[in-house]
Amino acid sequence: MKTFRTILDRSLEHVLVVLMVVMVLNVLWQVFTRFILGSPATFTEELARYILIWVGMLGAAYVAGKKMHLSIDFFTGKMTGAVKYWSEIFIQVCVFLFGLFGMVIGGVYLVYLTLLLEQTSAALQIPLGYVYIAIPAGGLLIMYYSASALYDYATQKITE
Amino acid sequence: MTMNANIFQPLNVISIFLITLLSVSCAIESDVTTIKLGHGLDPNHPVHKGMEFMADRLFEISGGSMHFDIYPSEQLGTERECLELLQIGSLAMTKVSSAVLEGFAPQFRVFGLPYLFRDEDHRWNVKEGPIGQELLLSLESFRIRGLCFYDAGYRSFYTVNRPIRTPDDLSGLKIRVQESPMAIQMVNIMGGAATPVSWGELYTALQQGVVDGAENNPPSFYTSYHFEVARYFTINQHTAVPDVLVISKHVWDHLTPQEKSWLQQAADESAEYQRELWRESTEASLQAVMEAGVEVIYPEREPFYERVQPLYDRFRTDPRIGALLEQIIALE
Repeated sequence: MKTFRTILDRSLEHVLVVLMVVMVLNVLWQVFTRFILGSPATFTEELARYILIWVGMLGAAYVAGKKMHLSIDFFTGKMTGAVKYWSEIFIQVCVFLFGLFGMVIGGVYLVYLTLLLEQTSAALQIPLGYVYIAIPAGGLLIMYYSASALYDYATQKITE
Repeated sequence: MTMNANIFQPLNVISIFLITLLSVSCAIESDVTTIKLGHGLDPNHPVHKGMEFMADRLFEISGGSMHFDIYPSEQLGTERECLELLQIGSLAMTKVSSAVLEGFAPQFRVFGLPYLFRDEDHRWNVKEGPIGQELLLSLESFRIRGLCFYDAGYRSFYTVNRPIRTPDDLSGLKIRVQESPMAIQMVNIMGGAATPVSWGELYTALQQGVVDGAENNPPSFYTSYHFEVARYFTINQHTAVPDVLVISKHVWDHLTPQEKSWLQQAADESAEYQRELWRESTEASLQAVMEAGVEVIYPEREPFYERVQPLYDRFRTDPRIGALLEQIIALE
């Protein structure tokens, strides 16, 4: 369990780094073609946008695993013992259900529909469904991470 | 910390109360059919005014049983996003430029061809005749249904430093276009360098020299204040890309036949009304930019027309729009 999780963390990190590098190079290419070559590339803006979607979705999953998402801990910060324990479990269950219904089920439906209706992007002419696969993919990862967090809570004792 | 808690406590109570109130008010059901319409234009735009007219007409002819909620200025998303919302049935209606439809329904690329229409009569015969009707209904396989065309006039070039009098003046100029494959090809074939820049960033792009010019219809040139930067407006009227009023097929299928005919009637009447508004707005905008000191140039049509002929040769054999193109050219 732990090793699989470490491998997943590592690979996600690598994918995210590669995507960021490609995005930066892509934007530099845009500047280069516009100001040095004098004939701006038409695909760069679109590519940057689609990579950003993937970085956002995969990054959200990665951060969910690290429990680094923004949260309002005003109330949870005051909690102790069993109350805190159950509130953490409640939060993870909510995250899991959001990943399942919002991102995986909803996302698969969206991808299915966009591929079925053959919507393509203006400059790159790629099917937009491929771009939207980021949503169910991110959702699956978020589900995995919250399930893994729940497993940790279930096996640990109530501290304090 | 305890002081903070004291401050937040009453606020919390109030916000919970407000949220409850909101959800209760949403839950009230009524027998009035409400149609949500979202679009990207300013409330002063003739298209928005046409929609308001449609809303009033629909309310009247349906005896108050149907009404519109209109959300302008990209409140519900850009044109492409609104179209996607239509396809999944979350939003009922929107207005899109047919350039944006190119990514959804390839047959709409035909309107992106420069100098497609011989004259005004030809243009309206295509849009209001069987070809236009067929195009509107062809959207059904993409889960949307076209109700009517709105006039979006003719698009022309405007430039910052160098006036365009012949197509040769375009060479080396960076021209902003919509995110449409047809528009990109058209500017490139005329000799310019096409760059898609988002509409909201265009003012600064013109000001800083990222692009040397752009192309649009007179009301958009005026309402966007681009005339403050771009001092030359060349009325070459290369394309007449119409706006299309579309409804989600999901929503349409859930209307009764009576409601469908009311809605279609209101849409048709608004299209006619909007055409008139558009004409007035075009004249007023041209007048206004001229008063602001913009040089308005009326170049010869022929050199531009000649320059884009290779595009026609390319698309006559295109499997998706070739037949449609022949039909439009053959129409009186």
